[in-house]
Amino acid sequence: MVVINRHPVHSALYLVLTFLGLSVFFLQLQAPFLAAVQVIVYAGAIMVLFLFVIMLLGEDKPLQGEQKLNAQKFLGPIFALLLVGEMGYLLFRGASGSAEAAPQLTAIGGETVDFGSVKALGSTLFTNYVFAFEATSVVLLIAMIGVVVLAKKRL
Amino acid sequence: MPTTYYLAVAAILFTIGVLGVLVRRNAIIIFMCIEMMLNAANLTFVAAARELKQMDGQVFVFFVMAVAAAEVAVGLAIIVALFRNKETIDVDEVNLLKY
Repeated sequence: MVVINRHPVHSALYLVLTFLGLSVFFLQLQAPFLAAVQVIVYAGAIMVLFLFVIMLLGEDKPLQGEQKLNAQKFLGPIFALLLVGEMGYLLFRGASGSAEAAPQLTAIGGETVDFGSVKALGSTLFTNYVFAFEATSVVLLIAMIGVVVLAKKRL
Repeated sequence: MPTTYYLAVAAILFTIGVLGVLVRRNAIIIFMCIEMMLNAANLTFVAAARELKQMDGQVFVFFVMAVAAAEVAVGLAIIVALFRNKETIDVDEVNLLKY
């Protein structure tokens, strides 16, 4: 639906639907924090940004001349089908792998934390991955500076 | 539900994203398809985390989301700058780098 819709705003709204469905998947997969973050960050912030830019550019009508057929229209689906076949092959060839019981997750203090809780996620994030967490903050800061520079009047 | 189903959904979602990037020429929709591919990767991460009972996958999803947010901000700023310069967001019209 996101792909076949001519109208960018409709595409964006279907993308919101996709994100909400994915957050339901995250809930099923015992990741409640990620489900919440998915709704807040993706369905909230990122889609507002998308819709804002669509409206700002006045592209709320279909792109002119996209009806023109060209090589992409034929080659794109062919490559996509190739990719489907490849992924399906990998998925169902390796589907018989056995899942042995993994060791119980342990928090800092040594007490076991049940999998998927926000506490377990937080303790993993701030112990093993604390450097990556700080690096992420630097990435966000650089992105913010870059956007401000890009959005200046003259480029 | 077995993890394979989630992986299949993620694969289908990723393929739809690839198809969109290949077929569409509206830069904003190409960006949405890139977001969709990132989300497919996220779903794979979470499914694998559940399968292996490790929190590391979910932490990675967290980082992917942060990087995706930064990427969207920068990309949309580029699109806006592009629209200011060329009055179009059709990626086939943006071929100055070719010459």
